[in-house]
Order: sequence, then structure tokens, then C-alpha cells
Amino acid sequence: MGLTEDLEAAVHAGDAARSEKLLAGLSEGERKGAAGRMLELLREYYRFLEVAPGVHSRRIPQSNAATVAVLGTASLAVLKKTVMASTYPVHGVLAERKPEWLAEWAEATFERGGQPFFRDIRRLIRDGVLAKPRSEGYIRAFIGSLMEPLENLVAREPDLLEYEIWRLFEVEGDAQASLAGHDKYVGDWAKGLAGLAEKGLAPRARLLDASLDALERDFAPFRAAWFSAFHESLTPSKEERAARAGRYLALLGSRVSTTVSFAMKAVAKIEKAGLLDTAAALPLLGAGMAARQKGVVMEALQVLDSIRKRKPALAEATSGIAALALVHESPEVQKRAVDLMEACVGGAAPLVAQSFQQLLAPTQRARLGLERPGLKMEQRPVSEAALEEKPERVNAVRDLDELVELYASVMENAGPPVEMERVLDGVSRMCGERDSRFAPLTAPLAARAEKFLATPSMWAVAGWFDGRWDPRFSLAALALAWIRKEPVKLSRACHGVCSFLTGRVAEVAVRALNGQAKPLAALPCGAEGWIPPLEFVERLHKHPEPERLDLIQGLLRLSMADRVEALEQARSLPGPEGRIVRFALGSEDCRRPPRFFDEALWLAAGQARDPEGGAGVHRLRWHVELHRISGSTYRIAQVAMDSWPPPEFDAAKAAALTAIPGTHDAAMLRWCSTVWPAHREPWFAAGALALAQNIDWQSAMWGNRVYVETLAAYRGVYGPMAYELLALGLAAKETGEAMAATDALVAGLGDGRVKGARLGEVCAKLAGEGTMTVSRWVKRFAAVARLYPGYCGELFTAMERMLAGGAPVALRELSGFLELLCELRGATGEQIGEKARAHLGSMKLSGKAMKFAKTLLG
Amino acid sequence: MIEYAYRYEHCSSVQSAEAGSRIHLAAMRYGERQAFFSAALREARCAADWMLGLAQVVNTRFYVPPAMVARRLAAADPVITCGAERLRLEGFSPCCGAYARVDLLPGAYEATRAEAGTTNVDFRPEMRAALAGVRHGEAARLTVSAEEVEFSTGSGSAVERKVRLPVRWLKGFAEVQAHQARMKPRFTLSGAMAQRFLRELPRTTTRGDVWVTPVGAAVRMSRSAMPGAVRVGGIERLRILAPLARQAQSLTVYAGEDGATAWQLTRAEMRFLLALSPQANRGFSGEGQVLFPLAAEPARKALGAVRAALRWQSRIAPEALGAELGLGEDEAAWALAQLGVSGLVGYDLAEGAYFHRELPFDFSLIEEMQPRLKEARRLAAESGVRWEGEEAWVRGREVEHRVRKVDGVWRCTCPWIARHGLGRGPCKHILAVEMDGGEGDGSD
Repeated sequence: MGLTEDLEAAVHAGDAARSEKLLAGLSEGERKGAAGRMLELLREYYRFLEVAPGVHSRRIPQSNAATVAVLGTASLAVLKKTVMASTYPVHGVLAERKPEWLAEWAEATFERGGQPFFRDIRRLIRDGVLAKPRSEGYIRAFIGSLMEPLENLVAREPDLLEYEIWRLFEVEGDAQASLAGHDKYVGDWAKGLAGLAEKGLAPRARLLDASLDALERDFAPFRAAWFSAFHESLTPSKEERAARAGRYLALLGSRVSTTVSFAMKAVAKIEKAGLLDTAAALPLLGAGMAARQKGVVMEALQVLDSIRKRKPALAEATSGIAALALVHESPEVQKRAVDLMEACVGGAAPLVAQSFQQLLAPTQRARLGLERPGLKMEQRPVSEAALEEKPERVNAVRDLDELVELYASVMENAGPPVEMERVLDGVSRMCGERDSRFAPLTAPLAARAEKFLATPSMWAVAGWFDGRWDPRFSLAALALAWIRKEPVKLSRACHGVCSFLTGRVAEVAVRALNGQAKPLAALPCGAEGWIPPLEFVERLHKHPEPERLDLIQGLLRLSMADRVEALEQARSLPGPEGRIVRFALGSEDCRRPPRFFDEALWLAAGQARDPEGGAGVHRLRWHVELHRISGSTYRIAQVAMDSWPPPEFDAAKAAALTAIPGTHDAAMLRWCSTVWPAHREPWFAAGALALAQNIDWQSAMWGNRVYVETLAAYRGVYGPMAYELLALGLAAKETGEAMAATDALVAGLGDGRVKGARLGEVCAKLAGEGTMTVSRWVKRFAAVARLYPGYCGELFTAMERMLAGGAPVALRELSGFLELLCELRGATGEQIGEKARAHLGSMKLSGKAMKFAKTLLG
Repeated sequence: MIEYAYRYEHCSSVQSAEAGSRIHLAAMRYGERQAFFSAALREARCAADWMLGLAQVVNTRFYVPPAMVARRLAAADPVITCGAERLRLEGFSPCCGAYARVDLLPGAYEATRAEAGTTNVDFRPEMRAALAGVRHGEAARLTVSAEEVEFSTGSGSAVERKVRLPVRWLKGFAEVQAHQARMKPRFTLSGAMAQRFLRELPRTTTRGDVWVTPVGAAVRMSRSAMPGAVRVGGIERLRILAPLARQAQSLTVYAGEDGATAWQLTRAEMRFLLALSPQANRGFSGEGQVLFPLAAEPARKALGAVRAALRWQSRIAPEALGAELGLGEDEAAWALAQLGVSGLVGYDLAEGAYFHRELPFDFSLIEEMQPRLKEARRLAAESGVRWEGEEAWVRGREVEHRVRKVDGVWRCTCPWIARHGLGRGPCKHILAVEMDGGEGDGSD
């Protein structure tokens, strides 16, 4: 038998030792002849392992033998491309072959991860067959290879102490292998290296320096944090720290927050020991002042204070550096900085702080005698006219050209809602026209609609519960009904307001199928959905007998303006529709519906007649359950709405009764928000429910943001549900929801529609349910107060009412809450009321919270 | 993908000495002209920090498509341009959505030698680590050279690193200049205020647009548009500026109408610019802002003259250049936009003008790498455009699309225009019509 056959037999027998023996002493030329077949065998056995994992253990000897055979025969180019591993040691076959490309092969294996052959390569290095690789890959493989106590490994392979151990501090590693990652999931490099220092195997001083070197290397935060933790695990002495003071100070400018924190602590310890070179330290401490973490800046100020006391001559320079801390948003930090500045330069402190004036907390500004930046609060009284604000007039689509382009746009972008309404109206008006241009012009739209309806992702990606309410689906169906006369297949089940809207699309589709052109009565005149009553009546005069859902929609969109005049115009409207419209406009002669009446239609007319009277009261009902999971207790809130409609199959009735949309799809929600602009309370109630159920962002409900955005754009009077939605938005974890709620707060405070007292009461009530994170309110109130000083009074009232209302604030959040209250008090000069005083007095406080409470009570 | 090999004759390095650090950026040999720069930096720590910021942009994928998590692209090395008393380092993120540039103005250094040229510079992790070690207040000397220098502590041997640069990366690099040319300054924040704003940025991904509105001397982030507000998509990308702002004296915000924004930190004679695409998941490469210039015939005539006038200027204003060459301002601007696509000019927002540089990549294929343009050429060549009066009908895959101009603005019935309008450049049908003459004959 030849070499190939012998090797093949050894591989099939799973005899790696025999493979190795057969290859001994062969020339490269002889090996080359068997390379191709060996590679085939290797792939075969690897494939076998992949497809039949159950027989793993029985086939490993064969794959080992094949690996040995390939390593002993294949060229470098092949080996570089071939993925393999072996539990049988392969260093023997490589040492015996000793190809000139051995170093290159080793580097290539490291680039691929390098784990499988690391021990073999190490053996080749120790045997002098291979020079030590200098690549990062080698060190990464070394990191990943630690599976035993480091001390044992070093005892067995002492050469590691000459190079590899120190290279650990120079190589950042990657997602697969890094010291931080390895220690988190697998082994303990930190403990092992500290052990080497303890036993005197590795010089302690060098380890301390090497870890600082690593921290200067711009490593990613997670990986850098390992080195600072390791440095501290060596517990450097005062002298050791003092000798490295310059290095700690330089690290204050690091981009990694944990490194800055670590360095600041080290500098503080050196200063405490009186060993800091103050003149050299001062300019570098400025970097510590720019830290984001409050603790780091406070520590830096502490060090500066200590320097001031030790070296009074440096007071002026110290003050200038302390001023840099004024960039920090925490009033506590600012107070500490101003304290220090006053101690350094006395009456000159305001001058030093001048350039930071706009960043200062009210209390510090007052203390320094600096004027508030001129931001005048704009208060506009709420009037009836506010309800009628219509920024832009919506016009009907002019012609088929515009309709086709607009239709394509709303179908691609699922909105905006007012454009969808224009499309419905356009199709409804033009469905009777079919000239020679119709077919070529609409062909692209029909093709696109067909594609939409055929795309499975419309259902699969959006999710089965949302996908069906994506408005593009019903618009695509309408396009085919209009252009190709294909009958529509829309769901008749009621899922809230979105069923009503798709029902409206179906109405237009039926009209389009029959070619019965007529404009929509319900085409809104503004982006929010309003229709002026006079215009509505005029439309009905021109085109009587609107479709049922169209009429309901029109009624729900009626604004409050010019109703008397509109009623006069409506006197001559014929038939039952005329009677309904007159009723909606406040006519006294048709207060009662006829004997056989359409309940939903009359309900809508009733809502249009008295939007706030007939809507019912909405209230969220909370139920908090405690769950113990793995030894921890979790509070899980269940929220429901008292006024949730009963199962109802008439979507029109649902639309008139409540604003529950029945979907989380953002585009559909935006459209739903235009259904009933006259009375937003039900809509805000639906939003409050949606936000309350996901206040900590347990699931990615991106559509919920639409409710808060509607609130921000709302210019009407705030009812109970508007306040509840506002409070929940401000307490939301998701940044977008919170940002929109802040917009609403700023707008509401700006024109006086949001009252601090009412907001505070609602927050107190919600906090009482026990699932709110009060610090989120504090954070968002503080942000508004910083930017709009004129709103501090209302914000103070809101927080004071929260306190008076007994809002249970978690202890960890209390000092932040009271601190902001103190700041707002400082800004406004107001005092907390008796009820809040009593509640604060009854609380068991300590630390900073006690200090702030004393200020408030004093 | 384009296989691109970085070949350096030595490694970049930083050497610490008593007299201060010596930063040596190893440059790649590219063409006949070799960039060479040697200068003492006046504020070395800040320069090092901002170069690290650039390296971070170059190494960060701000958006990873769900199906591509495992396929991370190798980062490309920054590009350096010496010329007309400016040293500029530019880089582009692998996701194609962020462009960063560090400008060192004449006051930032004292040059002993500055020869014009553009090339890549070696910016591997070792170099970044060394830069991070430059001390505050330390003097430093910066050298950019393809030659090995005496103090180089690198391996000494040639360095070669092959990267696979996606076509869209090259396209985006060129495209971002066109975006910048359309931006206008919107507001400026003081350094301290900028620090606070950047600290308050969301730490998690924020879906949708955020408006940044100036309020007094500060700014507020909101979800709704307000007067003076700048719209930013993927605002969390700005967090990369937070550590760099510590050294800045001001932050100037630039924005255009297309949703792209640029944020420029300034400190005395140094600038750090970060340009962001309209959304984190939208690379500059797909924005199509250069398609009209690429398709345009008139600019081709002026192109040669403008190209011949490039002499490593740091400021090329279309009107001045037009006057110099006897061209109209629009014609000069059009030609400069085309040269931007070829990587021959960049745009400097602070100056409000182009600057000459020659990106060290092969841009000759870029025109062919524009699928819309390619398709449009094919349609135009295969008589895919049919005129009916002033309306053109362009052959699509299944149907014909109507293309027309309304009030001077192109309209098309295809899904691309329906979805994006002209915000992401014209569709292939509009381009085909442009190539076919652009106007109907007025007869049916």
C-alpha cells in the first residue's frame, strides 16, 4: 500500500498515533501526494460530526487522526483556510515536519481564535521549534487557554513570566478573549496574577505599573475596568501610590468613567497621606471636575479643599479649578464648588463663577448674587379659541395626477393621517372617472398594492396582532378595489377604533367598486381632524346621504365654532341625516331619536352635541402583586381601565364610546387620534393605560409614544386623564415617551393649562400605587426648571403637593426629591404648606435627606 | 466589496522623551506626491484626544442590521491631508452613517516642514494606546511620513493590512461632502453648555427623530419641531463627542434640509467635526445626493477647468473659483460637487468652502457603483424613456412610470419617490429622463 492508503486506513481506524508515525521522516514531496485525500477525509469526518452530533464521541478519534494527517501533509495555503481541532496532541507531527512556514501557520491559527492548538504551539515554543509569536492573537489565545490555577501553569512553564504575562497588559483582547471577559465567565486571571505577586514570582511593582499602562491604552470601558480592579486588588501602599501619583493624575483625563473614578480615589488617598505634589496636581485635577459621576467630582473638590488648606498660596488657582465643577448639574456638587471658591477667593467667587452663570442651580445663583438669565415665561390664557387652533387648512386632492402620487406616498409611509383622509376623499370623489390616462397612471400603484398584500412580512414582521391594523393593508386593498375592481376582504370584527377606520375604508372601497363618486363628508380641515360645522353642513347640502360611517366620523370631528349659524344652515337638510346633524349641533326640536334608530349614529351625534357630557368617566384601576423570583421580590402592577367598553361588534359604536384603538401600531394610532378631536379625554385615558402597563419598558411598544405626542400637540384644557397621561409620560423609562411628555409639560406650563397643584396631586396618587420611579419625575422636573426658570413656581407647587399628598418616595430617591424641592424653593422663595410640613416632619430621615428636610422646614 | 490593502513601511508610534512626546504617523505611499509634515503641536493632549475620537468613529458601527451582527467590517484607517497650512484627518464609520474630521489650523502647530498631499495613516490599536498616553501640558512633535523615522519604536518592518471596504463606504465618504455643502450654521453652544448637553444625551437607542432646540444659551431635546430646532436621527451617536467636549470652547451645529447634521467642536486652532446621516440606519452612501451631479452633462464641460485649478487650496469658494475660471457660480459649484464624488475635494463647514485633497482610494469606479445611475443609463440607452408632451413615461420592471416636473420639482410614480420624495436623491426613472434631455418637446 502507498502512503495515502496507509494514512486513510489509520484515519478510518481513528489511530492518530499511527498517522503521526506514518508521516515521520517523509520529504515534503512525499507528503504532498497524500494531502488532497487527507483533506477530503477531514472534511468528511467534520461533516459527520456536524450532521450527527449524537455520535460525536465515537467519531472524534477519526477526526483527530485526519487532523494529524492533514497537518502532516497539507500546504500552508490549505491549512490557513481549513478549520480543524484535535484532542490528540499535534505538536509531534509539526515538530517532525518542521516546515519553514510554521510561524506563519501559528499566526494564522491565532487570527482565527487560536484556541484548538494553543497548547501544541506552546510545546513547540518550549522545545525550541518555534520562536515566540509577537502577535496579539497569541496573547488572546493565551488568555482563553487558562483553565487551571495560574500558579501551577507558571510553575510548569516558567518562561511565561518573561514575556506572555506582561503582554497581557498590552493587549486589549476582543469579544472572544479578554481578561475581563475571561474572568467574568470562565477563570480568574486577576486572582492568579495577584497570587504570583504574593508568592514573589512576579514583581509587584511591575504589575502595578503594567496595570496603569493598560489603563492608559484607550481600551473599551468593560475591558479597562478589569485593570483598575486588578490594580486595586493588589492594595497598593501609600508609598506605592505616591510614587505613581503622576500616572493617576493623568488618568483623570481618561474617557473611561471607571478609570476616572479609580484614579480619583487613588489621588484622594495620596492627598490624604499628604504626599501629593500639589503644584503638579492642580492643572490635572481639572479633568476630574469634568467627570459625569457626582462622586468623582465631589472627591476632586475634597482634594482641592485639602490642597487649599495645605498650600494657601495656591488658593486662587484652586478656585479656578473648582469653578469647572459648576458644569455638573447636581446642586450639591455646585454648592460644594461654590463653598470652596468662597473659601479660596472670598468675595471674588461670583466673578469666577460668572462664565458658568447659566449652568448654576437657583440656590447657588442666589447665593452668589448672580441674576437669573433672562428667560421670560410666556403665559397665554386658555380660551375657547385654543380648542379651535388649526395651523394649516387641509385641501381636497385636485386631480388624478395628485391623487396617484399622494396615494403611493401614504401607502409607502403609512401616513400621515390627514393625507390618508385626503386619499380616501380623493378616491371617493374620482372613482367614477376613467379616461385613457387612468390605466397607465394607476398601474404602478396597483402593482405596488398587489405586492403589499402578497408580502408575508406585512404579517410576519409586524406581528399578527399589529399587522392586520397596519393602515397600509387596508389602503392597498382599497387601491385594488378602485383600480382593478377587486372586491375588498376586510375584517368585520371589532377591535376598537381601528376597526371603525378600516370600516370607513371599506365603505369607500364599495363605492369605488360601484363607481359611485361622491366626496367624503368627514374630510378633516386641519391636521388634528377638526371640521367646522358650517363647512360640514355645506358638504351635506351639496352631497346628501353620506355613508353611515362617514357621517359618524364627520359628527365626531365637528368643532365647537359657529354652531348656531351652522344649525340655521342645517334646518333645510333633508331626511334622518338632517335630523341627526341638527341634533348634533344642539337643536332643541329633535332631542329624541326616532323609534327605530341607528344607535351608533345617534351616539356619535350625542357626543358631538356635548363632547364632555356623554363620554363617561375614565379611571385607571391598579392592582399590585408581589412576586418572589429567585429570592428577590418584584412588584408587578396590573392596570386596567374602569370604562373599558364591553365586547361590542359595532365598531362605530366603539368609536363613539371610547378611544380604545385596539392596536399598538404607531401609524394606526396616529390615524385613530384624529377620529374624535373634540374630546381627548378617552384618548388620553387609552394612552395612560398603555403607558401604565409598560412604564418600565418591559416590552418595546414603540407605538405608545403616539399618545404622548398627541398630548404635546394638544392645545385644549387638561382633564383628569390628560394629567394622568402627562404624569405617566414623565415617569416613563423610555426616553422618547419622556421627551414627548416633557414637551407637553413645557407647552402646558407655558400657556397655563397645566397647573402644578393638579399635576402634583396626580403624581402623588400614581406614586401611591407603588410602581412609579419618583426619581424620573425629579429628573424631568429639574431639566425643565433649569431651562425655564419661569416655571419653577408651578414645579415647586407640583412637588409640594406630591409631598403633601403623602407620595411614598423610596428612601434612595428621597434626598434627590428633597434637594430639588429645596432648589425650587430657593428659586421662588415659596414655602411648603402645612400638610407637606406635617408629612415631612413625620418621616424618619437621615443623612442628606434630613439636611434638605431641615432646610425645607426651617 | 473592494479589496483594499494598507501598506506602511513601518508602524505609527509615539515616543516619550524628556522634551515631550514625538508622534509619528506612518503614511502610505500613494501616487507620486508624498505627504510630509513635521510640526510641534501647541496643545498636544487635546490633539491626541481628538485624534482618538476620530479613531473611535472609524471603529464604531453605530448601526448593525439585525442580520449582520456577526459580520463586522474591518475599520479603515483615517485619511490625512496636508496642504495650505492645514492638517486634516478624516475618517468614516463602518456603518457609513458618521463622518469625522480633525482640523489642525496654522495656530495649532509650528511646522518645520509641510508638504502637500493626502494619504492613509496607520492608526492601529498600538498607535491609539500610545496617543492615549500623551500627558497634559506635555510638548509633542507630530510627524507624518511614509519614510521610517529614527525614533520609531514599531517593529520596523513593513506593515500590511488588507481590508474589505464595502462599496457603500466609498460612496458614503464622497456623499457626505455633498451633504455638508448644503448645510448652514444653526446655533453655537459654549464649551460648558456643550458638555452638559452631551452628558444628557440618551444612553440607549432612541427611535425616531429628536429635535434639538436652543433655549437661551442652552439647548433642549424634544420630540416635536420648534422654531430654530435641528432635527437629529439616532441622536445617541453624538455621545461620542462627550469626552471630547471637555477640551472644547464651543460647539457649533450645522444642518441642512435633508436631516443630516454636523457638530463641530472648536478649541482655539483646532476643530473636530462629526457629521451624522439623517438616521442611524441610513448610511450617507444611500442618500443619493450626488446622483444629479453625476448624471449632469453641463458640469462635464466645466469639470476639466475646475480640476486643473486644484492646487491644495484650503478654501475653494464656488463664486471665487467661477470668477477665476470664467465660469458661472452654479457651474463651478456643480463641478466641485462632481469632484467631491471623486474624492478630490472635501467640504469645510467652518470656512463654508471646499478644500482640495485626493482621497487615496480608487474612485474611478464610483460612478459605476451607483445602481440607480447605472440603471438610468441603461434605460436611457435602451430607449426606455417615452415622451408624451411634457410628461415622460419610463419603463419599469412591470409597469411604466410617469415622470414630470411640477413647479420645477421632479415627480415620479415609482415606490422610491413615493417613500422618500427627493430627500434621498432621484430615482432611476428621473435620472433616465434627465439623461434623455430632461424636458419634453411640448408635443404629444
